[in-house]
Amino acid sequence: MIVGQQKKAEEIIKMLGEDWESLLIAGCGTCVTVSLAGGEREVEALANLLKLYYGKKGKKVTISTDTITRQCDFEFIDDIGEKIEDHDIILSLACGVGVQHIVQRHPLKIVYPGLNTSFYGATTAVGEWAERCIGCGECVLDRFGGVCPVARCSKSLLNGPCGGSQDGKCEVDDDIDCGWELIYNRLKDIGLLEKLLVYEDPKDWQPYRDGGPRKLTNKEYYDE
Amino acid sequence: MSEPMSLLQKKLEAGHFVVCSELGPPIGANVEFIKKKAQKLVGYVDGVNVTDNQTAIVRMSSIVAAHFAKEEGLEMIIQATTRDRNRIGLQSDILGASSLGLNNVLCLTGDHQSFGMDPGSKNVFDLDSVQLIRAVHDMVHNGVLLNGKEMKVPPRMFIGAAANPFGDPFEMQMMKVEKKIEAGAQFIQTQAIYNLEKFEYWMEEVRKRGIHEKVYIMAGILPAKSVKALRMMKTDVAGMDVPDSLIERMEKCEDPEEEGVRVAIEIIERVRKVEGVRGIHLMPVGWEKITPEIIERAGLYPRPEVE
Amino acid sequence: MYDVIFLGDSVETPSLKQLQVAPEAVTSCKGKVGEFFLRFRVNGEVHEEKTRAIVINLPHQQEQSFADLPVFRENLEPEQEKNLIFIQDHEEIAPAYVNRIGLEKALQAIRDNASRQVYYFYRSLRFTEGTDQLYEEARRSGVAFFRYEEDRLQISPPDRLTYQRGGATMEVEGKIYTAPLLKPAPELEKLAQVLRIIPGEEGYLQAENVYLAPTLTGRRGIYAVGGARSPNGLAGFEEEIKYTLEEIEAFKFNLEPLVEEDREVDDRKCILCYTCYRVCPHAALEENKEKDSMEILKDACWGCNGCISHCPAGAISLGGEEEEERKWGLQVLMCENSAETARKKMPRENMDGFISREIPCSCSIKKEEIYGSLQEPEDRILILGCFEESCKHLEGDQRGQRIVDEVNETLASLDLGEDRVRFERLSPPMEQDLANLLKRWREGQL
Repeated sequence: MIVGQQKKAEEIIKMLGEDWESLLIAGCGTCVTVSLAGGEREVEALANLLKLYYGKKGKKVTISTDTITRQCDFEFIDDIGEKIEDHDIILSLACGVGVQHIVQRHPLKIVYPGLNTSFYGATTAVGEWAERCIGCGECVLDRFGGVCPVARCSKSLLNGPCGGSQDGKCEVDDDIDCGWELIYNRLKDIGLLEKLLVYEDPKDWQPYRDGGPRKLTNKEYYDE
Repeated sequence: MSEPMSLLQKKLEAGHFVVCSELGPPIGANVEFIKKKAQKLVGYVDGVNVTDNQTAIVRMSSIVAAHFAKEEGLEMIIQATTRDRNRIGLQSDILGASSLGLNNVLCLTGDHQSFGMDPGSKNVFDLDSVQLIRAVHDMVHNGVLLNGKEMKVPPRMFIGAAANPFGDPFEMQMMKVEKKIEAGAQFIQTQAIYNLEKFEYWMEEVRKRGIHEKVYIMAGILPAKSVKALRMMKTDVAGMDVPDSLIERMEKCEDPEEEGVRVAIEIIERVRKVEGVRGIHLMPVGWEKITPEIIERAGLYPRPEVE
Repeated sequence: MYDVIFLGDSVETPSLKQLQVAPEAVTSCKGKVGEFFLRFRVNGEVHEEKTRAIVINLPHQQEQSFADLPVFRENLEPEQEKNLIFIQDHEEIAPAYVNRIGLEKALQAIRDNASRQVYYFYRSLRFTEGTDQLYEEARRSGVAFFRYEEDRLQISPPDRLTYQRGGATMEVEGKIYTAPLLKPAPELEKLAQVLRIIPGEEGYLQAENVYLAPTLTGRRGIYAVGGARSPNGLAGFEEEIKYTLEEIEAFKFNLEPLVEEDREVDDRKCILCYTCYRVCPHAALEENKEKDSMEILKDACWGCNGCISHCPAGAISLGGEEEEERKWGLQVLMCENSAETARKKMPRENMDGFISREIPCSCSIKKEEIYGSLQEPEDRILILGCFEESCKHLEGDQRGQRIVDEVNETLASLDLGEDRVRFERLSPPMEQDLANLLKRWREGQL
C-alpha cells in the first residue's frame, strides 16, 4: 500500500495562510487510512486541533470534514463534489495522487496536501511500515530470492553489496538492514547462492521515472 | 595478454612490488596546491590515486586534478564513482581521461551521499561498480560503448577495483570480488588494513579461489596521525575495522605521529610477506607529506624504473 | 470439540477431553475461549481442531553458570552433615523469581539437620503468596540470610565462598547450591506470535500483571503453566495446573462474558485494516469473512475500548453510547481499574470543581476528543491510568502515555500550551495521593 505521514500542524497552518474562511479536510479511506495518516480519525483530530488553534488566534473559520473511500477515483470525489465547491480551501489527507485527482476534478479550487506521501510499504509492526518496492516498472525479484536490491539497498546495487556493509547493517544508518545481507542470507538458505555470481546488466530505467511520467493501459478495457 | 595500458601495469607485469599513494584534490580551484603536493611525491611512488569527491564531499574533479599532477611527472590513477554520474557521464569521462594520457582508473561505487556535506542531494547509482568495470573493459578491449556503439579510437585504461576484506557478509564480498574480475578488473586496491589477522584470513580465501593469480592486489595502508583519527575511522568510516588494541597503543604512546608511522611500517612489512600481495596503496588522508618518509623507512625507496 | 489442548506436555485430566499437540506444529489459532480453532501441521498435513481452552506447558531452558555446582532444584542429601550454602540471583537472568524454591529447600535443609549451618545469599527477595511465611519460618529455624551486592560474592568451587560487606570479609565453607539460570524455551517466541499473546519482558508467556490469574495469559482461555509461564511457574506447578483445569472445567457449564456492554464494528465503515486486531491485548477481534468486516468476539473481550480509540476509520463503537454533553473546565479521565476506585474511597468534596469521567482504560482516550475538549482557554485534561504491570489490559497505560505525549508535542509546536494535558499513574488504594494530585494539578503545581 501507499504509506503516508501527516505533515506537521505548523507546516499545514503556514500552507493554509490567512486568506480563507472555510476549510474542508478530506480524508481517504484506503491506503492512508491503513497507514494511520489520513483516515476518518486523523481527519477529526486535525480538524479539532485547527479549530483550537484558530479559536485561540481569534480567527473565525468554518472547518468541515469528510472521508471518502478513495480519492484516486472520480466517482468517490463526486460524492462530496458540492461540499468541495462550497469551501475556500480543500486540505486533502490522501496521498499525492488524491490531491491531484481532486485538482483535476475541481480545476478552480485550491487544494493542499496534508500528508507527505512516503513510500510503498508493508506493515511491519503496529504503527510501523517499511519500504519494500520503489515501483521501478520492471521487477527483478526473481533473481534475488524475493528481496529487492533496488528498493532495499541504499545504492540500488545489482551485483552485490558495497564495502560499507557491516554486521548486516547499511553504511547509511545502523537502523537500516543491509539489503544485500538479506539477499545473501535468503539465497544461501534456499541453496541458490551461485545465482548471485551471474553478472547483472545495467538496469533499464525507462519503465521507471526515466522514461518520463508513466501511463498504463489495459487493452481489454481501454478504448483508444 | 595485450600490451600494457600504463606504466603502472608495466611495473606490475615486470614483477615489481609497487607503491601507490593518494592525493585528495582541493575544495576550490587551487592548481598550485595540487602541483606542490605532486612534486613531493615524484620518485617515491609508482602511481597516485586522485579521489573522486571522496566521502561525498565536493572537490575538484579527479580527472582535472590528475591531469595537473601528471604534468609534474607522476603516473596517475583516476577514480570514478557511480554515485554522481550516470552511464553517459562516466563513459564520457573515461574517454576524456584517456585522451589526457591518464590510463589507470579505479572503479568504485562511492560512499553514500549521507556521509558528506550534501546529504540532501539525489544520488545516481545508475551503474554499480561491477557494471562500470565491465563498461570500461568493453570500451578498452572491445572498442564499444555500453549501448553497443563502436569507437574508432577506443580509450586505453588499466582497470582497477576496490575490495573490502572487512565488509560483510564475508562470502558475498568475496563473490563480488570474483564478479569484478570476471567483469574486467586487472588490479585491486583494498580498504585500509589495521586488522592483520582478518586481512590474512581474507588473503587465504583469495588464494584458495585463485584470485591472486588473476589480478594484482595492493594492500591499503592508512597511516594515522592521532588516536582521534583512528577513533573516527572506527566509528565514522564505512567498512573499516580498527582493533581496540591499536587504539590503546596509540593512546599510550608519547609521540602519536611517530607511533602512527611505526604502525604503518609494521603493517607494510607484514603484508609484504603475504603471498599474493603485489603492492601497497598508501592513503594518508590529510597527512600526505608523510608518504616519502614512510616509503623510505619501509625500505621501498628508490622505486624501480621500467622501459 | 476438545475441552483442552495441551501444547507441550499434557497433564492427566480424567474429566476433560484432551489432545496433545507439539508446540512447533501450531500454525494458527482463531476463535475465543469456549471455541478456539487451532490449526497445526503434522507430517505435512494440516489439521484443525476445536477446543474450549489451550494450556501451554513447556519446560524452561536451563543454563548453569557454575557447571560443577548443584542447582537448588536438585534433591538435598539429608544425611549429609556438611553446611549448606544457597545462592540466589547470582546472574542477571535468574532473578528473585526462584526464591520460593530456594526458601523451601533452605527450610527443609535445616529441618533435616538442625546442627548444620545453612546460609542463604540473595540480592532481593520477592514475596509472592506464601513466600513471606516461608522466609519467616526459615529465619526462625536458624537459616542465616545475607543480602549481597553484585561483585561482592566470590565462589571458589566446589565449596568455598567469600563474601564482602562493608569493610568486612567473611569466608564460609559448605556444599553450595545455586539458583538455576533460566531462560524461556525457544518455542515460546513463535507461540506468542501465533497465539497472539503479549509475552512478558523476559519472553515468558505470562506477562507480569496483577490482573492475570497465575496461569492466565492476556488471551482468555489460553493458559501458560510451568516453564512457559515464568520462572515463577517452577514453584507452584501442581496447584497452578489444578486450579487451571478446574477453571476450564467450569467453562464447560458456564461461560459468562467479562463485560456487559456490546461493542460493535460497523461493517459499512470497517476497511479491514486490522489495526484493532493488532492493538487488542486480548485477541478479541477477528475478521468475519461473510460480513467483510472485523467483529468483536464477546467472550474474549475485556472491555478496554482500545479498539474503539484506535480504529482509523471510526468503525467501532460502544453499543447504546450516547454523545455526552460537552462540559468545560478541569476534566479528569479516570481509569476504572485504578484512579476511579481510589476516587470512590475519597471524600466527595475533593472532586468539587472537577468534571470527572470514568474510562475503561487509559488506552481508550482519543486524540481527536482531547483536542475537541480543549477549545476553551480554561480547559485542561488530566488522564489517570495505572502503573506498569498493573494495567488490566497489559500495556494500555503505555498506549495512553504515548497518546498524551504526542498531543503535548503537537500543542507545544503551535504554542497552544505546554502542559494542558497530563498523564499520571495511580493504584486503587492511593486515594490520599489522588486528593493531593488533584489539588496540585488545579493549582498548576504538578
